[in-house]
Amino acid sequence: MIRHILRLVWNRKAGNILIMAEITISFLVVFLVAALALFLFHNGRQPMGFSSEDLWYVTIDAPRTVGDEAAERQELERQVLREVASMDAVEKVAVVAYPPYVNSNSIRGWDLDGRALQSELTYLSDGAEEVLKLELVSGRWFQPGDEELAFKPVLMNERLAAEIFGDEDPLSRTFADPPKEPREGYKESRVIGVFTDFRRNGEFSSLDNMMLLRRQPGDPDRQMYTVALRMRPGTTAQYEETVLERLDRVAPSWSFGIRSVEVEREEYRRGKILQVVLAASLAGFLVLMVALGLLGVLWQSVTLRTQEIGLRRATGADARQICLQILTEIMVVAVLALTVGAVIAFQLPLTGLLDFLTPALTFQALGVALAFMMSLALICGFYPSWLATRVLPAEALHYD
Amino acid sequence: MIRLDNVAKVYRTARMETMALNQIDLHIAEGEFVSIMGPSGCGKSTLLNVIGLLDEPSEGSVQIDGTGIAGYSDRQLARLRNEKIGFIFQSFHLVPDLNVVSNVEIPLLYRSMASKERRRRAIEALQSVGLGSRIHHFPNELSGGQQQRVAVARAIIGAPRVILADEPTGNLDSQMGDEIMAILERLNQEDKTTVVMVTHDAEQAKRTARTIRLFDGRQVA
Repeated sequence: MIRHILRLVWNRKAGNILIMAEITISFLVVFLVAALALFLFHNGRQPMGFSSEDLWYVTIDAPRTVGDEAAERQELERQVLREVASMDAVEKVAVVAYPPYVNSNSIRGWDLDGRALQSELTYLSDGAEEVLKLELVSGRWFQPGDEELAFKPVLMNERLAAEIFGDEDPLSRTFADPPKEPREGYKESRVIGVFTDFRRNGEFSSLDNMMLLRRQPGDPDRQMYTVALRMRPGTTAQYEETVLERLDRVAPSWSFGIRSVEVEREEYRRGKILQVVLAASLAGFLVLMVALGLLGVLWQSVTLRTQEIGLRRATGADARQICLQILTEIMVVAVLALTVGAVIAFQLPLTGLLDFLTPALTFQALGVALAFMMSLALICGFYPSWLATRVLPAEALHYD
Repeated sequence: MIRLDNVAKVYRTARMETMALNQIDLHIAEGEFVSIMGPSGCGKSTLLNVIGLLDEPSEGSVQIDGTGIAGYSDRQLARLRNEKIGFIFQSFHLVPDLNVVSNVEIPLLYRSMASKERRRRAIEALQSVGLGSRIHHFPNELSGGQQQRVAVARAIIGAPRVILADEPTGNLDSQMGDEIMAILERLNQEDKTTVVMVTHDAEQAKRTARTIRLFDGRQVA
């Protein structure tokens, strides 16, 4: 019987191509939504590498300065840091060039044995690890006196360390070629520590390479624009006003803003969930349209075959066999369409357009999308198949 | 072989009732070649459907090969049709998307049989109706007469005891009609297959052993 059904499906390929196209396109949409949802779900289960709780950051809107004015600015920066550190509700303070959820970053790219590598980087002042609650795996954090070192100290996350050094110990290793032209004051970068992670954009962001560089006190090239504050537990949002008032008094020409990272995190989470909900709603609407279309096409296809169904009943098929045959035909068409869809889905990561699609994620999303579409085809196919069993053989044979 | 006692068939709608068959008593012996005649709408096809277990009588009883079918399930009726009855229709009812040999195989799909054996029997049936060289053709590549011969091959592939033919020559010219009649006669005479044929053609009816005449759902002769 299976061979007979395969023959029928093949011989009806012209009619089945429309159904196949509908199933394939729906499958790809479901696959993409499933991949996105799984991507965010997996990311959401990974640790962020820092603690957003009781973490605030102050933004400073002040012009960049050079020369004598830079020295004045440095003094003002020191006063601001002292002022913040002296506040009762503040446990610890650090300069973090790109704090969590700030919508700007710095990327460094370099060539490693012919392989293009890139990593996000951020500058931190000493003690920032305690403010952010980062976790060290090996080595040490930045510390006072590091400016005297003959090299530039660097910390990297485990991912970047593994990408550059593999299984080897990264501590005290360099990882970039020196500049071709000698540069005054150049120091080679050397790894002094490895930390678990610092996913600045929260739990839904992917695990990317991250490198931490030291912001030396008074470095004129690294002027202060953001300060991270570790607040005492239980500090309420009302305290933000106090912080801003006191900073305004210290540096009236500067403009300050303050944000709670926990609030940012919640907004970011909501935004991401909204993205998925919107994508899923659109996909759901499309799938609903496709399901209705599929149902209509299959119903019409069964109606057109009423005489054939009558003939099969006359020659010995019972209602159950008719239902099973129609359903099997539909499932064969669905399997063919989904095979085409799966082949296309496998090519998507190769296009580079969907960089979040790892092989593991592709397989998982394929599984979800295949199961969903097979269920959909089964549901859409069941009604027309059931209808086919309701046709009385004598009437079916004379159906026009 | 076929026995109908006091069979009536009523079609009911919300507005009216139509008596398609009324008090039909009929006995067709094994190996008989019987024709059914009557004006359009007199119940010929309904009678054939009742005999062929495609339609249930509203009243009365039907026996096929000594077995009463009252209370039979859909599955049991399908099995009886598959094993004992072969159908030939005026409009052939070939599946257009299947080639000739696959069309002929259809009744055997509902039996437990190896595909090779099914194919062998289909080819044999097609050879017996003179279409051994057309097994891979599709129905639309055949003439009306050839299509009906395919339908005959399909009807006989399961070696049924009864062949029910509903105006088998109705869509054919006289020469092709004669060819089909000749095949039916051969099946009846050589294989002792019982043939019940609905026809409008008095000449063809004369070639059968007995003619049953219907008028307004009643048997008049």
